[in-house]
Amino acid sequence: MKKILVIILFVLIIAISVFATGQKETEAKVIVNMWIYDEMASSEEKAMVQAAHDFEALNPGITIVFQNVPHRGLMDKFIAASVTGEVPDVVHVALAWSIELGAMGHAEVLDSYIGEDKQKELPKGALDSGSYRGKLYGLPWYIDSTALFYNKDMFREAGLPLPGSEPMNWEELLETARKLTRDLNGDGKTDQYGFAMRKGRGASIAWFPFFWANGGHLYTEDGLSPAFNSKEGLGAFKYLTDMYAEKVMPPGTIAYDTWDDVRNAFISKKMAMYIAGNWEIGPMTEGAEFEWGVAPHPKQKIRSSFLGGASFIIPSKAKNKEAAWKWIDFLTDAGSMKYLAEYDRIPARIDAVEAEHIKANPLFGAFAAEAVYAKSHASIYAGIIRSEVGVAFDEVMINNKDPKKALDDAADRVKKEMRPDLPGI
Amino acid sequence: MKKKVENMLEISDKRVLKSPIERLRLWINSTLGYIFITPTILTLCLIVLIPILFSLSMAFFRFDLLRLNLGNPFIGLEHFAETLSNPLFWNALSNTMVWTISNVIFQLLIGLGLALMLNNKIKFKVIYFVAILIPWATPSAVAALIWRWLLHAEFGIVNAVALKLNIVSDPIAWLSSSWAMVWVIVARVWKEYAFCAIILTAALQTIPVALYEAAKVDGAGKIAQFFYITLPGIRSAITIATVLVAIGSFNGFNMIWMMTKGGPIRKTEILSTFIYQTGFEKYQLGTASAQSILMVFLLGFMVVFYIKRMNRGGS
Repeated sequence: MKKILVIILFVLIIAISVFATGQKETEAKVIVNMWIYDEMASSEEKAMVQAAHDFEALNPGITIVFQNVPHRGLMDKFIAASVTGEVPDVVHVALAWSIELGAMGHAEVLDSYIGEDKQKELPKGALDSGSYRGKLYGLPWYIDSTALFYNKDMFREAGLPLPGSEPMNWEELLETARKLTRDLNGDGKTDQYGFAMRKGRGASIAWFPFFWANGGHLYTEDGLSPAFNSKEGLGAFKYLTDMYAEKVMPPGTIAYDTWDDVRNAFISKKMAMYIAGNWEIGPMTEGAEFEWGVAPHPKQKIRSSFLGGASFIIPSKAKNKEAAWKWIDFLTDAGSMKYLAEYDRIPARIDAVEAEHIKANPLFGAFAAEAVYAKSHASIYAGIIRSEVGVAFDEVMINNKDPKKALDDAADRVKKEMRPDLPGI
Repeated sequence: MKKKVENMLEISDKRVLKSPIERLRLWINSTLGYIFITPTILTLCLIVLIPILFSLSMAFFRFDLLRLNLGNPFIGLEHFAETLSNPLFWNALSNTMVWTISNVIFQLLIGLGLALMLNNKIKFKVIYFVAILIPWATPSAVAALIWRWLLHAEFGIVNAVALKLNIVSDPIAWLSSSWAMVWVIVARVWKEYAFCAIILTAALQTIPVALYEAAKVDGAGKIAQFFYITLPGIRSAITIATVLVAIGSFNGFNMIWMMTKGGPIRKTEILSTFIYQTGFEKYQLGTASAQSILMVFLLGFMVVFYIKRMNRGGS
């Protein structure tokens, strides 16, 4: 008898627990869950939390709930969440990710939300980076661009005029780098180099703007084959690897894995120039004990710069899409540019130069000006292209492989990864 | 005796023929245990078996995350054929073999050496023991960072020492050269050798001292004692350690990923990093699943082959 009682009790417990979860509290307020990276909303004092309060005051029916998610691994986490359907309503993603998520079907098409007026307020390069096959998946929020950081003291010591507001072309940059490569103590060894970049995958970031400035395209017109091993691509590739071979770049360049590595070399006066983005301004201001400046990104046939940054996507399985759009529409409004000041970010807006924090700091102004020419490498196979061009850089710089062969091989490897029913652009 | 058995049968027969309530009670008695473990079994199925079956089945479908919108057709063994004809897979496989075999050999040798030393009567044994355990207790992320800094091209201590001793004339970017594989192996052996040392120390302590004394009386030297008493005595422990270290290294991901990401030029790319890239950078989950199946089969084959070999040698 006891055992039967135990069974009945057991069944009851299960039944209760099942029904208990079935009852949900009905909420009057709409909650917009947002995933945000870089700890941008990690405490009550952060500007983003302030922005949420301001937004909630304007829209009493909506509550914003942040979840701070690490940048690394965010993609994997979001894809996994999309499969199960447990997604937030807004996700803060890197600029290059939104079209991949769009192709996977995990990001809502934003064309029906965004009005023509809004579109006109956003830079074309940034909008392009969120569009695939004529559909917009990512709403650009803030952008990064790259430009030339240089050590003013070294320029003066070498008797060179400081770079002006006009970009140098390749020949001028190379000449300047050569003059800045010097043996300072006369022991026959070079102590100071002219230029440097990151290695491997990082080198491909340096290469993209040179490639575009030279008139190159990543894909053939139909988007079905890679075209970066063109004359223009090889020209840009060889320009950079030759600088290394000529020892205008430090031999240690092949070990510069991260931005920290290049910046540390610059700060410890190993070289006079490097190309990086506005995210370097903060750490440089803290670290460098000499006068430094920012010059426009070198040009060739046209001007170019590497466009990075972040955008918003609304997951296709999100529960409160309308409210989510209201929130990201608010964040990308002219009046919301002030919230980005705290994070040293450039708003992804045509009128970004008007923002107080950009006006106040000429360094940011230089990058905001660069944003007009900047181009994003975002495309379906962008990650693969970056990896394979990175391997090509390593092959040439470490193994002395012929640059043309290295770049052609990289294009072959990319071609193998490309699927005929999924064009690159 | 016979009568007793008959008696028992009679009793049990009687029991079976008892009232329905009694029969229900009996039934409940025998099944209650199953009912209680059902939730656990179901949960286990849910979180272990189903995902395994699901990922196995993925290998036979296209399962390309970027093209899920365009359908997910059954493609049979295409992923396997594609993988086996991919030179990068073979590159990763050969790197995995170098990586696994070196890891096993060096971890075993160092572990055995330390175990033999610790088996002697020495002072402060505990201190040595703890010292040996420190690298093992270090999280692999920390260990990888430490090694990255030791090997740094410009500020690294390895370069500083090598320059001082005139081994090299210019600093070498160790992790960006052909040396990368050597150094990731060194780093991993440094981190993991303690495991072998512990297992073998434990095994050594099970060998009766009397055997050594008898051997000494018979005139066996230290070397003979080692080969005829010590080694056979810890043989099974060595087998277990080898298998565990081999499995651990074969699947090892952390140290390589954090030190080189498989670079430079895929020189340190092992199967686990290769599959990670296929799955999470190219989003080809189907191919990645097929590659994982190949990897598991390979590992299983190696382990079974090795254990059979060791057993046969022992008999």
